Amino acid sequence: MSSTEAKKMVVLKSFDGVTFEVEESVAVQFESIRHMFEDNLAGSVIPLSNIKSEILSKVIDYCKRHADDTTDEEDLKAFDADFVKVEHGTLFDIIRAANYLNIKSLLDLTCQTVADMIKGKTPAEIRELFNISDEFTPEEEEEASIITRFIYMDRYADC
Amino acid sequence: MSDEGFLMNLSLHIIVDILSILPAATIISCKFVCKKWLGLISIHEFGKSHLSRSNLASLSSNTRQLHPGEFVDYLNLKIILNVGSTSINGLVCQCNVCREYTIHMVSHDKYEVVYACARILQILICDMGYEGIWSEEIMYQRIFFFISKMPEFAGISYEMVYALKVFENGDILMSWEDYLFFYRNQSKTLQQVEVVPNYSIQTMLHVPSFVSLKNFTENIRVF
Repeated sequence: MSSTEAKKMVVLKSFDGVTFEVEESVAVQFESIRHMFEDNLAGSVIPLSNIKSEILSKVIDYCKRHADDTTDEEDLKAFDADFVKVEHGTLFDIIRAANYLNIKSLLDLTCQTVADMIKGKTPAEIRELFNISDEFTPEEEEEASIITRFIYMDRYADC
Repeated sequence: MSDEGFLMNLSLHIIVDILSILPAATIISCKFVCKKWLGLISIHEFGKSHLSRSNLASLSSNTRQLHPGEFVDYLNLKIILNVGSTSINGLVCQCNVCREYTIHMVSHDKYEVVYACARILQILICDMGYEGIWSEEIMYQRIFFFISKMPEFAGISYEMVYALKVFENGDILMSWEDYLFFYRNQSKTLQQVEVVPNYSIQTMLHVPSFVSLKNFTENIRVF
């Protein structure tokens, strides 16, 4: 298979020691480490000490899909929609990895996903969703509830 | 790792990124989630980040006059009541109107009639009092200065001119009665922008900096 031999490969190593061999055409999406393999350190392993293998494999999957010119737009959309259907912890790990590797499209996708979860929710609902502890006094809560009722008038009117 | 605070472990700039793509109403809601978010939303950078993602738009009606609704200053934002139907780069403007609208979107150089819809609009645009954003007073003085130099508009009152958007390069989009004007800072010229070519309309324009037209309907196209 001469065509695969011709492809330059980049080796990435996750935090828990798992190595991944990735085509350079895929790895170029990792903006922040691009210079490392573009300096042509053939065969050297690039350590990604803060990304777990589980997350790294997902991120690589994503980048492979997005590097593939033959995928049509609709399929890619469906893939993206499916890709973000993960547990919160995983989603936030992917955000962190996308941020670290500086993969803009992945960061945008995942941030938008979180934003969509928050959209239209009351403070209490957001706290519950992300397990954030409540730090406000009862007086502040009261004020918040008045404001929330006001801004979501549409929604309350439907009830 | 416990479930607690997955979101809170993200670095601040990512949280700001996420919050700044939210619509205005949700952002106000987010202020009461926790003290950290309250802090993030209250800083200048957040406003800038949100504003930079906002699209310029105008609401216009050719059926009847647009009425700003009654003001309710729940947020203690010190709304200036008599400019209630407009905003400057994110100035407070709240209206709750049930009318038929044609929504026109106006961007730097192009404009287009995009969509007509009928529903309750709630516009909440907040004056966050940022530095770097011109105060209203300065805006009105400048606009008055330019408009008063145009003979065909001699004698008009500057109170009737609404600044809609001040662009980074100093260009200003403004409305006066039925007309839109675009002031080019570099050439110091004022140019009328034709939104509806045929006849005059009542226009209520705003920079939907803390509320995007996408909030009103799914079908709005954004430039």
